[in-house]
Amino acid sequence: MEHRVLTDNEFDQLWQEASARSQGHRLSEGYGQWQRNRRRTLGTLAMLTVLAAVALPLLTGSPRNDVYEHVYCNRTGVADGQWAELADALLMEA
Amino acid sequence: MKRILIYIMLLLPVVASAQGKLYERYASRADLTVAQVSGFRLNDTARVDVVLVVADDAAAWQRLARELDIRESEGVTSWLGAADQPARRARWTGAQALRVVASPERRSVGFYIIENEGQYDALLDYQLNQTVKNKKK
Repeated sequence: MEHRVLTDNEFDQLWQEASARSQGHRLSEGYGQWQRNRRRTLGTLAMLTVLAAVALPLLTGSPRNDVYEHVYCNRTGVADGQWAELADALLMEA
Repeated sequence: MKRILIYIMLLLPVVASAQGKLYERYASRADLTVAQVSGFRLNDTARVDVVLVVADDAAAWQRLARELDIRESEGVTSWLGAADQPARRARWTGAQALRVVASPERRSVGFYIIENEGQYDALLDYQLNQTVKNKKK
């Protein structure tokens, strides 16, 4: 079997093609890694957002909501909390 | 216009409930201050809606007391009332009812709207616990 000897030009061309393919592979690997990182980061951010949306109202819930949910009055000038106090006081006295 | 829409939205649930009917009954009267407290907490699991009526002066209280058959000499009184007729003393039957508490000294009446047995029990427990706490002081 005869082996053909490559000329310098042919060898250079093959070398450049091989280098280009290798570079392209590395580039696609890098892009895939970047995509995975981005997905991971976005996933973490989404999870933190959901956690914050659930936990913050629980942690910072105003004490007002412990006693009542909503007050509506036909007059202005009386604080909502005073109505809840009156509701409590009447029951206590009864 | 926007403000009117907001008021309508706020009043819609009010109009639809027994609490709303009670509120409407007294809110239009010039001599009474009326408030409705939604979701007044009784314990970890039970809340009730409350309508509070306060007479602005002695004459207004006299009128309110007459309507609700409140005897001044009895001091603070409480009874179970029918949701549509608060003055009528009723027994708890499992249907919607009111615990009505009247205080001549405060010229105030509280209507606690009971819609189920859990609320009824919780209300009694609340009154009992508060009374015990009060006696310990």
